[in-house]
Amino acid sequence: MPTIRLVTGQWANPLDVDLPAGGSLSIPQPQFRCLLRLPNQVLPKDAIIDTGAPLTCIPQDIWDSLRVGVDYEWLPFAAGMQPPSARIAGWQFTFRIARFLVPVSLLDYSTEVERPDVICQFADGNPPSYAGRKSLPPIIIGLWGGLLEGGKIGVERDPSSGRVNGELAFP
Amino acid sequence: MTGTEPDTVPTNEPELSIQEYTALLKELGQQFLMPTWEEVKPDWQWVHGRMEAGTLDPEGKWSDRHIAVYQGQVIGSDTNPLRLRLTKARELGIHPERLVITYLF
Repeated sequence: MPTIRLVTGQWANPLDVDLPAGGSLSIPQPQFRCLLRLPNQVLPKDAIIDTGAPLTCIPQDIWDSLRVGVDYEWLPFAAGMQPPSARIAGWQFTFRIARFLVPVSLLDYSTEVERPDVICQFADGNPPSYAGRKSLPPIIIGLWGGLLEGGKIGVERDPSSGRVNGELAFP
Repeated sequence: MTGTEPDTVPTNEPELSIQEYTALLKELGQQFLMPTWEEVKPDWQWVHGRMEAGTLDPEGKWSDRHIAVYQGQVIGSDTNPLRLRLTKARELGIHPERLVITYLF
């Protein structure tokens, strides 16, 4: 079973709390990342796995170098449907839906898993990125669309360190 | 993490469009051989290892920024990953894809 080891980053510093019975607890704020290899790109990009996100979202600075008709095709919204908007990290954006025409790969340092027919959001435009504003967002891997489906995410906590480890296994 | 403060790309420069940055990166990349995954992988392992150990950015000074990593060092940060990749690749005289660019929350 090919298995991708997920990188556990921290979303922020640990939260230190006091326990009613005495002592304290340091609560980490873990976040899983993995590498994603897109078509027409030799080298992978990193991505954040967000099972709370319905769809995978690729910002325009990344998808702009992909080739329509070769790497992906647009799946236009049905006639009469109001194009929706979404929100990531305080940035509200509109998007279009695209389907990759060639497989997209999830990988770690020893294993690469190809995922065919991936469908995702391609964000329209990007916010301005002057000092003090939010950065351009990273790739978010969401639940639906072919990257995670069929896989099993395993999450374990090291009892001594409290550290969370994760993996994504495919049959 | 290295002991030196990495350069931050000035953000008072006029911002180019994504298409303009992409074209400039492509033009710069044509001057060099495309790096291989084997060449770039150690820097990904370096940055991911420090993310996991919590030692990459313990003070949060790069929060909400993209950082550039090259040869086991953070060499710069910016809110715009395309500008960061272009500026640092030009400075170092390397293929833009040789740089590991990642985002920190």
